[in-house]
Formats: sequence, structure tokens, C-alpha cells
Amino acid sequence: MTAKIMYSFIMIIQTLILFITIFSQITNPIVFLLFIIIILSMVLRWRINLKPCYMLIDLTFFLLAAIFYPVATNYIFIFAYYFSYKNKLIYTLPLIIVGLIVNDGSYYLLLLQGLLFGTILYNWDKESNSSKNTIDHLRQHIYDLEFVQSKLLSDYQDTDRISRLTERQRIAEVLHDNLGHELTAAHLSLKAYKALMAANQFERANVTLNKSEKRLENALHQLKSSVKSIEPNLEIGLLDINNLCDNFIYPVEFVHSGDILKLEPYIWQLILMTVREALTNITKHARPSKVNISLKVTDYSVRLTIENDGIINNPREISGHGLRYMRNRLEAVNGSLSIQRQNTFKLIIFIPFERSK
Amino acid sequence: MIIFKHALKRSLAQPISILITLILPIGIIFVPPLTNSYPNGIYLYGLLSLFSGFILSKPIVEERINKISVRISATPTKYSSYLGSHLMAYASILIVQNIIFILGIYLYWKDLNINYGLIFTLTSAYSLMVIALSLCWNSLFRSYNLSFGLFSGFASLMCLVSGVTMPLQIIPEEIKRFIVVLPTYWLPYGLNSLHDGNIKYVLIAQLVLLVYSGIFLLIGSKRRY
Repeated sequence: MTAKIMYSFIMIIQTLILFITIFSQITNPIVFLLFIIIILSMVLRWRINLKPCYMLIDLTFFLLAAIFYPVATNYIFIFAYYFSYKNKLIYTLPLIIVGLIVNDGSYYLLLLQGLLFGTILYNWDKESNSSKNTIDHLRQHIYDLEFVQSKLLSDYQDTDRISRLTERQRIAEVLHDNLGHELTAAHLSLKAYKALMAANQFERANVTLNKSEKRLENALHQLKSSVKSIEPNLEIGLLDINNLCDNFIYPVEFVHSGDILKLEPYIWQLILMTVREALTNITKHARPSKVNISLKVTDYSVRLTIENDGIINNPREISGHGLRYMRNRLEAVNGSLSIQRQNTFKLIIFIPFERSK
Repeated sequence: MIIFKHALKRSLAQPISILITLILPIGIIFVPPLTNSYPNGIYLYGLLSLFSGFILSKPIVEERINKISVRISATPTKYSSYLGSHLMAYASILIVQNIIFILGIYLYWKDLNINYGLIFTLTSAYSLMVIALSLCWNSLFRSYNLSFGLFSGFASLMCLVSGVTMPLQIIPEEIKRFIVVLPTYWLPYGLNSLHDGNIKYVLIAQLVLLVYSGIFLLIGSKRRY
């Protein structure tokens, strides 16, 4: 129940109290007219969001009516409830002055209960609004972070693509600068050999052939050294996973199959992130005797399975923030994350990828 | 103005509107007085006006049920203009009904000592209250038939105990304390005050009816789809 509904409910009770107070004189048309005017005033505030200061006009009307019809003083305690709910206690000053003039115990009692209920409701409303705002703010912050994360991942893929192109450019330059010269020279030497052989200059042809052979040997050597210099250290990802497994508090068995060297760096990053998150979750929420990690790479996809046998039954823990972030990051690269809970807790991630050209 | 004309034409296009606006008021003019007051037809007119207002407000309910009001909300037409025009059209019809009725009273009850101006303002205030009450009542329901069925029972009972169909003079004082909250009470109260020559109370009765109109209008005008 919101404070606003509670306010309306208490307002109805206040109106009933007023009705009971004036019941003995209700057949007097003036008394009834004032009664429904006050109802109109409250319905107007319920329907249209008017500033509390406008209620002073209504109050003035009742204070003026009280000069001619003293019964009108019975009505004005409702204003105390309204003003205190709107946190405008200063506006209740005329009511207190009227109380001093009237000097009636029941008037004070009604005024006091109106002030009390209004103040309590105001504070309740304020408190619930504050909590609601905090929750909204935090939720907004989480959404912003998730958005930034997915953007970063997308940017990372773009950067990866650009760096791959740059790398190809570098390889092309290496091949051109080193191999290109040697192979061109070998090609020319072989042409010269052919011409010398046709001219029956066998000795010179033999020298040229030897030069060609030497050039080709050099080219082969340079090819090997170029390949070695441009080949990335693809073992780093594996080493990282092995390190994580070795340093984990529970025993971990890590197996992998397929050509892991074909995996792109961003996929390695996702795999590492998943393994790290999964192992952290196991530390927090499970008591396994053993953890099995399996990495299977095929031509077009990679499948990582992390399984532990130390399930602690607490369904709330399944969908935490960590797993949600992980899922979002995987979905950003068309991957997926699924969980299987039977005798063991199995976390499976699947990432499709394009074959490197 | 276009909506006002449309609402007016639409209401008058219904044969029942013509019947309740022109024929029935003439029919009740001839009802003689039961007690020392005005002819009872003037009091019964409160019941007729109540049902007239309710029947006239049918199009606005139908438009809400048929989701026409949703379509209207997608147009540049303001909801206040749409609602105001409809209510003005219904009020106009009821005011015409009042004029016809008062004219009938004037022609038939020639020797009646009555302030026709005050009767007109009182019945007009009552008509406004009736339209606002119909709007408010209909806003509580999603089906016009259900709304009308319940309203028939409620309105008949309300008119019976509040002095519209049964003279106020025979209602005990103790019950009067409770029936003052019924909006229909203030028409016979105003008429009796007029009969007794208490003009001040006639004006108060009119004010009460207008305040009731305001309350019902505020509740009933809340946009509902």
C-alpha cells in the first residue's frame, strides 16, 4: 500500500469523523453545504495536483464562514491533516489561533490527530520515496555499466580486426622485403642458367645454378625466421588457465581438445573471464571434491564446460550478477551460457567464431 | 464546437431522447399535488430528469467501451474539450427539457403562485448534477447495460427516500438526517422551500446541487480506457 492510497483512506476516515461531529445539525442546509464544500475541496486536490498554498483560500473561506456560522470551526481540522501531509506546518498556524479563540477540548483533539496522521504519512512517504529513488538510481547504474561493458567488448572486437589487418600488412612487408628479393634473384639466376645452357656455356651455367641454389636456400632460411618472428605466442592463454587451475583451492582437472591455436585473442579473453568467474563462484557457493574444466575447439566454435560436484542447494545463488554479466558479454559475441544442475553443477559456454582467413 | 454539435446530433438522433425530452415532461405535468405543496409532477420531474440524464450520457460510455476514446486521445483533440463538449450538449438538451416542462406547468397550472425563474435555476442545477452523477456512475462500469441496470434500482430507491417520488413531508425527521447526503434530496427540498417562501434555502439547495455536480464531475472525468 502506497502512502498516497493511505492518505486517501485516512482522508475518508477524517471526513467520516467530521460527519459524525456535525451529524446532530446535518439537516441544517448551511451545515451540509459546508460539509460538501470541504469534500469538493479534497476531491479537487485528489484529482488535480494543486500547490498546498492554494488550500489557504479554502481555509480562509471556512474561517470567514466561522464568523457567521461558528459550526464551521468543526470542519477545519481536516486542513491540519492536509497541511501536515504536505509538510506545510506553518499553514496550520491559523488553525491553532482559532483553537485559542474557540478553547474547546474536542477541537484540540481533532486538530492534534489530524496533525499526527498527516506528519506520520508525510514521513512514511518521504522514506519510501527515498528508498525507491536509491533503488532506481542503482538499477540505472547497473544498466549503464552493462551497456558500457557490451560497448567495450564490441570495441575490442573492432580493435582486434584492425590489429589483424595491421599484422597482415606487416607480414606482407616482411615477405616482400626478405623473401621477395631472394626469390626474384633466384628466378633471374635460373633464367640466366637457361640462356647459358642454350649458348653451350656450361661452366658459367653451372656457376649460375649454384647461385640460384644458394639464393633459394637463403629464401628458405629467411622464410623460417620470418615465420618464427611473426608467429604469436598462442600458448599464453593456455598458460593462464593452467595457472588459475594450479592456484585454485580445490583440485582442478583441465583438458582441452582441438586446435586451440586458431582461437582469436578476444575469445581467449572471454574463456579466461569465464573460468575466473566460475572458479570464484565455486569458492563462494560450492564445496567440491573436484572441478573439471574441458575446452573443446572445433572448426567453427569453442565449448567450455566447468563442472563441480559440490552443489549447495540454494536456488537464489544461480542467477547472480557475475553470471548475468558473463551471459551479457557472451551474448555480445553471439555466444551463450547455460547451466545444468543435476548431481553436479555444470556451467557451459558456447562461442561460435568465423574461421580465420 | 464540432464535437458539441456532433454530440447534440447524436443524442437527438435517438428516438428515446425525443421521447424523454419532449413527450414525458408533458405527461407528468398533469399529476396533481398530494400534500400542501406544488403539483406532484414537479417533484416527479426529478426522477424523469435523472433517467433522462443517464440515457443521454450513453454515447460517452459507449465510446469508452468501444475504445473510440483511445483513438480520440491520439488526435490533437484535448480530453477536456471532448468531455466538456459532450457534457455541454447533454446539459443543453436537459435545459430545453426544463424549459418545456416549466412552460407546460405555466400553461396548465395557471393559478399556481410560483417563481418560475427560481424553478428554472433549481431544475437546471439539478440537471447539471444529474449529468455529472451519470458520468461518475458510468465511470465505475465497463458495460452500459450493467451500469444502467444497477442505476435503475439505485436511482428509483434514491428518489423514493429522498422526496422525489414520495413527499418529503411524510418522511420521518430521523431518516431525513441520513437522506440529506443524497443529491436528489435537494430538489424537493428546494421546491418545498420555494413553496414556503424561503428563497435563501432555495439558493442553498441550488448551491448544494452545484457542489455535488463539481464533486461528481471531478471523480467521473478521470480518464479511463
